[in-house]
Amino acid sequence: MLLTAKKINKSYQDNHVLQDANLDIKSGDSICISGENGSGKSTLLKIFCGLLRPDLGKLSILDRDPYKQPENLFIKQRIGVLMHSNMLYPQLTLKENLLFFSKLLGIINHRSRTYEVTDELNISKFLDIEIYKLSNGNRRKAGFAKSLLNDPEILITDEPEANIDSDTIEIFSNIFLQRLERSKANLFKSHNEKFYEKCSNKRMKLEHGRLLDL
Amino acid sequence: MKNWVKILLTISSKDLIIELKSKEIIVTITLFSLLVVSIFSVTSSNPSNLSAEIGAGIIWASVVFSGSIAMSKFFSHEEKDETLNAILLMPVPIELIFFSKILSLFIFLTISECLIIGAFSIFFNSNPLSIYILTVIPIFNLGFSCVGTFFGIISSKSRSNEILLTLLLVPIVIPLIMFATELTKAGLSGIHSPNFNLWLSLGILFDIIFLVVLTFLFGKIIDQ
Repeated sequence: MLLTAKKINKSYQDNHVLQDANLDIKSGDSICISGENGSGKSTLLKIFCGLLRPDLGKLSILDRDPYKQPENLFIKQRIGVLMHSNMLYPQLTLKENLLFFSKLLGIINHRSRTYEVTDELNISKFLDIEIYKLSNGNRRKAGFAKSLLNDPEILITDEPEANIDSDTIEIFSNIFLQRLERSKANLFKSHNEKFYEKCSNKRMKLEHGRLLDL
Repeated sequence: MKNWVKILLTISSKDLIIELKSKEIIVTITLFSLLVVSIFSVTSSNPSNLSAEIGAGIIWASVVFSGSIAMSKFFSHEEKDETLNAILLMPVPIELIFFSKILSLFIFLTISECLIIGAFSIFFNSNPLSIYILTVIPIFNLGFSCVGTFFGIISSKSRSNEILLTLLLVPIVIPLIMFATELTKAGLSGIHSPNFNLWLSLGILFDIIFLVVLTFLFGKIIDQ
């Protein structure tokens, strides 16, 4: 199992966002989480990628405890994350950003991997342009490129299709599907029906803090 | 170990490249420190004959306030663009992230001190450079950057982060400011401080205590 979450609970003061949420992700899974606004989808994704801690519950990623060092470093090296924000340095160029993050990820051939990922997303022509000069759509692609640098075992994305055109949605979908052929897993949240229909092989809904199969 | 040093330098050099491109912090601290030193200069009746006590106060007041402005700018960007979260998602020990930010701030503070000392020499016709101030600078910068990084990250979550950082930072670094002004005073007056070893021990002790305690607490706070 790539990820196992048992009875995950998370509250913001009196608002119980997640109540006993359970999830198992295995190789080849591409899970789309849907739910109403404010139902806790982003919170759940943030817990899985390590940006938030649950109040209660047990989480195991790649058969390791994400709250222990150095186990969490092993996990972080093998997951890819794209949240609402692209989490890139606006003053640095696309190349500088990707090289910086690939160095932190410990990628040996960081230069060739940077070119490989940008070629795949068709953004190589923007490599020497600062992120703040890019359009919202290209920034999203840049953020997605960053999440793919380490060819992650689990790719966790929060509305990856936000701000992008239909051609790019096609590119993103193909990447999602190609990953499944290589036994990788995707976990994402999306409101774009066309995107999630194509990219997911399992759909779940977050309702009253619980994850339900659809 | 070699790998950790490489990561530390990667993060810090990234901060410096961003600063070289934006020049935002450098411009802010240059203007602020010039302004503070020149205000003291024009309000002083005889700037060329300033007492060592007041001179040391002017230098370190300028460093503390321009440094805290630089820190709040530095961390508010990280918060706005969620780039600190991006680093936290990387396979890098939290302590190393803390140390890399301390290193970046250490460099910014050193630049700010060079500017302040230069401006002080011009406006007050006095050279504050001495073995005393050269001893003070690395010790002060380490402690100030350590406390500043810790509270900078906490206060960056707040809307009024600039005021909050100064309010949190200044009371804690008072022993460090006392250490710095005492030794700078000795350097400016040219009279050997009888309590040199005592003040030096205080400065070093401050650095060690805060580096150990805040490194531990930083990991805990980020974890939560």
